[in-house]
Amino acid sequence: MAMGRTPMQLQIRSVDHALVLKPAGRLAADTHEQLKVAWLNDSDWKYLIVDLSETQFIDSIGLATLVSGLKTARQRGGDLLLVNTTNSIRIILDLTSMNRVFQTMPSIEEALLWVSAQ
Amino acid sequence: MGLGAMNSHSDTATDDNEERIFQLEAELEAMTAALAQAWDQLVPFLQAAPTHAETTRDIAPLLESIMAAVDAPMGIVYLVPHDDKSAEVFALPADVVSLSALQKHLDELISTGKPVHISSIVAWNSKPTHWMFTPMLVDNRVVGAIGVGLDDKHREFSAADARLVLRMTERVSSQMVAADLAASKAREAKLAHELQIAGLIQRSIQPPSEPEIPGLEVAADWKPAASVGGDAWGWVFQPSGRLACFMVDVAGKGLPAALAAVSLHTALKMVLRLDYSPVEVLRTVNHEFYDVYTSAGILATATVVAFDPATGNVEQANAGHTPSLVRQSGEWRRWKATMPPLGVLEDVEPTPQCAQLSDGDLMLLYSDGLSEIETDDGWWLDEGLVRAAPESDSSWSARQIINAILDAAHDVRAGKPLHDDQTIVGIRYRAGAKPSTLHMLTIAATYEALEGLKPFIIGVVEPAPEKTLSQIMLAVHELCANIVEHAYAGSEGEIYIEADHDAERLWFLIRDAGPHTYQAPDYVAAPDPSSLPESGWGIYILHRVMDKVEYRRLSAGNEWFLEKRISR
Repeated sequence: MAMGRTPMQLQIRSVDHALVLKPAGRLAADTHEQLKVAWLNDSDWKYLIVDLSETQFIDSIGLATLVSGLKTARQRGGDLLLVNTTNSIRIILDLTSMNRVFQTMPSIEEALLWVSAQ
Repeated sequence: MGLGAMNSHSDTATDDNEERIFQLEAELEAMTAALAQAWDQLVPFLQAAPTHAETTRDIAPLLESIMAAVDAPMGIVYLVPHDDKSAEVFALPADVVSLSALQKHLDELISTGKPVHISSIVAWNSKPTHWMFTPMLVDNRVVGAIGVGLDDKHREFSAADARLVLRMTERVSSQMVAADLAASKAREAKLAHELQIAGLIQRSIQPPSEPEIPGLEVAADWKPAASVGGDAWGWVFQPSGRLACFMVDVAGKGLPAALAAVSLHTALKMVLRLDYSPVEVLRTVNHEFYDVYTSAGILATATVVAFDPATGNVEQANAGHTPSLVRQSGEWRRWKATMPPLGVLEDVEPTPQCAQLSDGDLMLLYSDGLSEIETDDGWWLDEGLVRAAPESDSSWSARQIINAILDAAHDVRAGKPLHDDQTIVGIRYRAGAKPSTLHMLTIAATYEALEGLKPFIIGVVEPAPEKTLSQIMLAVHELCANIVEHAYAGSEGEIYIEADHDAERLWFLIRDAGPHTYQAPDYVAAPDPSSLPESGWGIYILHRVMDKVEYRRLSAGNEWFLEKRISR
């Protein structure tokens, strides 16, 4: 019984002023850097939309990465939106009260609509 | 001559004596003042001189001070050949006279150990010079000479000059000894430091605790010898549910043996985790290490044993190690090596040794440091271990049996220091042990390996509400991530997790063997979300989720106890 590693797969796309990121797998201490590199390598966005529908697990390091993204977005005059938060994601947001800090949206479409209205 | 004339004569003599005394006192006072002045000038030179003098150039400042003390324009330092160094000469001015012109006089000084005066030596500028050489003595052995030279034919070195140069040379000789001692001490300190590192390395791979598994009692003891050796033991819970124990002994002492033991220990654990049998493990490791061991001249013995606690089956493979001892139904059997030590042959086909244990049966693995104890009648050997083991009695635990053997070995040694590491592992089978709800997991201390926590925690926590499962998963993950980052901080290691439950609570015991400690406060405040913190969440989450969090530092590593009240 081998414990295989599940690296995080990351989908990235740009829509207008938003960078849409979809991490699939674990957003944790061993995978979080991929997310950061993605937004640092792109200078055209103002809003980050993180689709968590396929994120199976997030730990405090993953959460810290999202906070870092939020700070970066605000420095650019924008924001970071969390979309499709699963039960396990809401667990850590509730435990840390960071659910009061992050904006959450039920879908990508609604997130993009909100961005276009800003 | 009349009395008046006699009195006049004696008065004159007295006056002369008094005058002479005054004169001598004045000269003595002048000499003392001159010496004091010279010493005042010399002390700063001496204090500025190097404390470690090895070559002539190291003590050149002292030569200059000696020259200044006796007002000599020339000086030479000569060191006799020693160790693998040839004779060394340093002159001020450089090359003022040739060594060949001085050699026979220096040879006389070396053989007699007494100062020599040399006259009419022609200097580089064709001027005649005369010299005074004083031997440098260390433990009554001539290690060199200090020479001062004059090119003024009207001046000679005085007795005071000779005494001053003699005292100064004694000081230089002491510094030369200090330089030798310092070099020796530096070498010894380096060796001691290397041995200390080797000792830490060897200690780091010994398991911090014995495995606990229903059906088996395991007890072990490892005693390092005064000089660092290559003994080590380990254990792994294999995926198939077997408990594998192993012991290695790398030939040699010090850092090389310790490093070889570490790599072998790690390799055995990694391969055992792949659920290989003892035979497959030794065959694989031997093949992988053959080239390295051959080129480095390394030899290592190893025994690997796998126990199935559910059935009592045991299987062993032994590569040149001391024979394992198996006691079945009161009868002892010796399981000898079935292949040579690792690294001797590239490809081997070890023969497995198997048995079906019954309740109370015992197996002993040990290193030759325990069996090769010299007694008045010869060597203790495994017969000594057998005699020392208590009679087959189910009331004796594996720990009690090991301790009885160790006590006997200690008595046989009669206070003599250990010349080799002593390692022993005892495994006692307990058939029909009550099934336990205890879950155990060993994972590597890496972020990637933490993924293995999920199935383990599911197995422990279910059936519990999904929210409870997610919270516990997160809390245990955060603690283990903390262990990876802080307890091990980049070094290799493992995390040992035990979990159990009853109707009302769930608990975890998490241990590491990391070199770093924690500050584990009883209360952890939540980071302020509005400040957008990027750290400080991990231990806070642990305390939020768990009802009890306790920490203690072990002799080697850390231990956390977590408890959560649950309803099932």
